[in-house]
Amino acid sequence: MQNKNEWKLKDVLLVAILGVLFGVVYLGCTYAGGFLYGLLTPVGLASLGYEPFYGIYFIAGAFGVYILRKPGSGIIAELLAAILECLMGNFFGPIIILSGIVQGLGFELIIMLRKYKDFSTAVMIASAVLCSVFTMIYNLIISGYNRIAVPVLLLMLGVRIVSAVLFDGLLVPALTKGLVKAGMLKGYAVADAVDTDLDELTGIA
Amino acid sequence: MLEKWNPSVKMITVFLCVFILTVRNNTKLNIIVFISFVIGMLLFSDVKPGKIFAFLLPAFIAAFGLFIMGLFYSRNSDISIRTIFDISKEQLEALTTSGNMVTALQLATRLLAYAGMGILFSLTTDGEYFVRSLMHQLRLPPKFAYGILAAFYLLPMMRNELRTVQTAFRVRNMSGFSLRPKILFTMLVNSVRWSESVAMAMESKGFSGEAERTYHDIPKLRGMDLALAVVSVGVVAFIA
Amino acid sequence: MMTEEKSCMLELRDVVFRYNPHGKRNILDHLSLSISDKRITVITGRSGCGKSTLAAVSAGLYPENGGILEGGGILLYGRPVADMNPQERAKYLTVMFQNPDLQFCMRTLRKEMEFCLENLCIPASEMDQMIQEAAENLGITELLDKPLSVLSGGEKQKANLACLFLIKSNCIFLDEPFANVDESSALDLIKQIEMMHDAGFSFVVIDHRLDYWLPVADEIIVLGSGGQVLRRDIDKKNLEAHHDFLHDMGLLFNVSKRKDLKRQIGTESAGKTLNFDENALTEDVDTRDCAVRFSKVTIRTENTKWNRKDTGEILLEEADAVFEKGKMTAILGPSGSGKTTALLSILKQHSFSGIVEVEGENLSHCRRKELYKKIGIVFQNPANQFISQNVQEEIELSIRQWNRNIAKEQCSKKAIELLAEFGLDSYRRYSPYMLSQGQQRRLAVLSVLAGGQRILLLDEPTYGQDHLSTVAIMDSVADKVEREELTVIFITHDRKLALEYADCIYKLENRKLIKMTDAHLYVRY
Repeated sequence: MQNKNEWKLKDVLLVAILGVLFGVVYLGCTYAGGFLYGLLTPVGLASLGYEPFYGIYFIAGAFGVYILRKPGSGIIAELLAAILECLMGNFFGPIIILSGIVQGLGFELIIMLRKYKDFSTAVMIASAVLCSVFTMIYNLIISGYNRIAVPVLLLMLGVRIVSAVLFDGLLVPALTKGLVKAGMLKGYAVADAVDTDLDELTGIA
Repeated sequence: MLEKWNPSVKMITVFLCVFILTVRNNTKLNIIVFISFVIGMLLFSDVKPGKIFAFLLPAFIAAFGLFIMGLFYSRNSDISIRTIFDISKEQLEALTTSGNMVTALQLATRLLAYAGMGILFSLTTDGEYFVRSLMHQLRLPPKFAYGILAAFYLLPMMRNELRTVQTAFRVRNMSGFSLRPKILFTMLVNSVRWSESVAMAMESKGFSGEAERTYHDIPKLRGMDLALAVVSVGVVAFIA
Repeated sequence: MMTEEKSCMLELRDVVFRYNPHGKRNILDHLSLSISDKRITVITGRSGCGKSTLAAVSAGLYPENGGILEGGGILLYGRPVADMNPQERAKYLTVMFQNPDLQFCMRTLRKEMEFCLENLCIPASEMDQMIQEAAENLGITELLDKPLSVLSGGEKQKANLACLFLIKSNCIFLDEPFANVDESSALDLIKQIEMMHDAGFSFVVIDHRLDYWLPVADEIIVLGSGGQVLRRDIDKKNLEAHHDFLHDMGLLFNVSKRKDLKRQIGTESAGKTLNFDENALTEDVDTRDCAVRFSKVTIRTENTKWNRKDTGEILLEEADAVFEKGKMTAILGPSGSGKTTALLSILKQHSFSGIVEVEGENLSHCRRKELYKKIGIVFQNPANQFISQNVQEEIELSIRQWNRNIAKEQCSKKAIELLAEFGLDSYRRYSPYMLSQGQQRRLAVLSVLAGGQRILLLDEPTYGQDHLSTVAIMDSVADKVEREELTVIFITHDRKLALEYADCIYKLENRKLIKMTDAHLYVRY
């Protein structure tokens, strides 16, 4: 009926609402992050404190591309989430939008190369890893991390990758599949791809 | 006055300043930019100093963390220390003149300078004005612009709903930690429902995102907006 | 197509619609229906008969936003809906949905109204005046500039109606507009609707609360499963002839349907009331018979400001109350009056001053874990409290939560028994989210009682379901109260529900918790 790659209003809203949701969740985690941060400050590894939660930063983008499966959906989702994060008040202000673009691009690149057809676990994990690497390159340039000793950077990147793989590479597909099974994502690209053998159940309910 | 500065131009100004600071990487420049943005905010906006402080505090804490990191773990470090508690007097003296100190200050002040700009933007920009400006000046399609606003205004309800879900888990004697996949799942179910309902309500009111529409307020692009941008970027570039 | 009668506003021809692309069950199964212009038409029927779907399909929101239109056509004033874009459709038909929280995209009503006018390409210079006039017409000028998020459910629906008034579409479809609204707001809204009807708007209303609509409806249509028209042309004049039919459908809401009312309600008892002395109330009941007891309890809204001096708004002031063991107690009050917060205080999830005792034990000495062994809560939206993705597992998890050592077979046996007791055993393998609202609530009740909890708190048990589903849940809970001495405290804005089920009723109004005597109940408040 409609161009499959076109965004419907409800697609935009879903991604935007997820952006707000994970903005709130992330804010909740900064308390835990802040605690770790305080603990690690005396040993000079303060920034490491936030790394375990880093994957939540681009979870909206991961959901966007995994559910919608349209070209640009990861980048656009990340961009929307970043604008919303900026609206929600943040001491980095619009600079968040810059990092949002980098994150979206990092996550979508491999999926793009697979022509938005392959969303296997391997692809999702690879995307999470690549996204972590992209954000670290961004940090090297923008945050000046290029002046930090390499082993420390590798340690940070390692924690960031673990976080991204857990949250974005594994949790996002698992939760989305759960939603499909609960009959929540009818009409979205992911629902056609995941499975339809629950038809009988949804049919009676 | 800063409140009236066109948000898109303000944002691009911030981006350009970030670019200059990144390229120059100069501690003095960072400090000057930070101080001038904060003073600018105090002089030319209605933001209460208390609010600025509330935003600055986490920025200072983050900057301090980076400072220590730079001090201990600079690349090509000439001194090695493991914790803040076992710095000896000699080391301290050596540190103050070492390359580590230079790096540490660079990192910390750069973060502060970014925060100064970010806080100026966040505190002097009305969210709706910003999104409208993105729509009119930077061609963000209306579908996205109004989608963003709708989601943003759902924030209070979403926060309440998240709290309810967490309470529901706690009273069943389970942890209400927001990252529990089960809690996230419940919130995702809600999010999908909300997005459908809000989309239908908006469409029912005649919003399509594609058809032509009029606008009650269109953020204007005045000479002042551009002049302010040129002056800000110019001054930063000049000091640099 | 052009031969359509002018008075025909909406016509559905042999419409076949379903949600699941590969499913077999059609929500609307060969539905044909035509509705006349300039009238208030009420469409009613049991939950799940496709009423709400009908609204979205008529407005062209489905299949655009979900589901498959397998066949048939929908004509609005003779024009196929599918050929129109949202902007054109809004001129003919707009919809107001049941959840007032999910209808706006702007911060204030004024902005939302501007948004509506912008959608219709009204020149910016005319907007302010149009908004001012509409607001004055409807008497809601004071709502214009308040953030929508702080308005009550009733005010939000009023605001929404004002937007549709401004759009001036010929017909307004109301999808259960009172689902989240208390009685006095509902009556207010009906007044506003009557006024708009006089001004030339047509209304199609989807609702199961016929009592609200009987005085104003021109026609009532009853739908059966698949959206089949069971009866139509019902109005207040010929109502008697359809009385039995409506009664059997569970569409009439009568007080004192339950024969075994423990408390005598009747016109004669209204005169000679028991005349409780409100101060003596708490001494009335022996502590041993008391499940929950409030002594001088003051509850405030959560203090969110950094400013220490601002301690939050007072919701409940120095309240004394007794909730008896093995009884059902209702707390009545308008929405937003702090009823839910009072329940959260009993659960130690909201701070308070004063003393709350649960089964004789002071709450401040009670550990949370011990407390939740005794007491459980079902929230307004039960979908918010499921912890698994499978109905049977949901109950099993709850059982195991409180009996760590229970054997696997025993646990699932008990779960199946409980599910059977509540008529949910055939849905064992389903995801809880696939159940209807009524079934979800029953499942939620079961899962909080599965650990052997003795006290059940119910938050707005009527929310989002039809009357028969409410009756089903309240009846099964009432049975448990009678047979197993369960204590139930439920909060509601529905006076009739409270009258029907509660042994004792408190009213929360103006920060006071007042025990109501029969005399109170019969005076309209």
